[in-house]
Amino acid sequence: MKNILPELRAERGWTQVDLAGRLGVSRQTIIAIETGRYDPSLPLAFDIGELFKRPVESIFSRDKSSKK
Amino acid sequence: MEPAERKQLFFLWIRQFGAWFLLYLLGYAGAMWALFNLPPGAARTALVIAPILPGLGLVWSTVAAYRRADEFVQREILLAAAQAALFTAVWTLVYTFLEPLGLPHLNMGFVHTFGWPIFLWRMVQLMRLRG
Repeated sequence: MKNILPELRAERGWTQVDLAGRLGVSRQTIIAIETGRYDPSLPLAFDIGELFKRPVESIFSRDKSSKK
Repeated sequence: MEPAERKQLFFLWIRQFGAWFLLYLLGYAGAMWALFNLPPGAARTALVIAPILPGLGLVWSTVAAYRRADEFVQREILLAAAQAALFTAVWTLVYTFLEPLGLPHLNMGFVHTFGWPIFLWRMVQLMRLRG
């Protein structure tokens, strides 16, 4: 999966630590999601959608180059 | 949970793990001393099996850290544990067939010299993750 989390975070001037705090997860988790190393669980994806007030599918999309 | 709090939890694990490891080393030294210097008896037996408790403490501190972690960190801890376990399994399998060919007989405890360093190396990698 690819995502626009870095762009959404930058629009608000949040650091990875800020976003992690708002979502109640570790900085490592934010880094892993932003770099495509980790796809969040559905509950966490919905939390991200609610935080940015956007549908989940507008934040995350299928990465066609990925095998998944 | 705030990231600072999570960072504190990570260092809590390091502190707990380090404390249990120190106790394990002290227990190990005591066990070796008792094994070669004390006559058979209750005191010798107690000292020789003493490292078991801090050994279990090492495992407990890691399980506790897993329960405190979020979903990604939990996955990484599981992957690290799986890699350490698989490497240990391969290493013991290989040595099982090398020993009859003349390599020295090793105590079962030697498997820990491979498994735990791999696990700790993966945990340090996780802590240093940058993006």
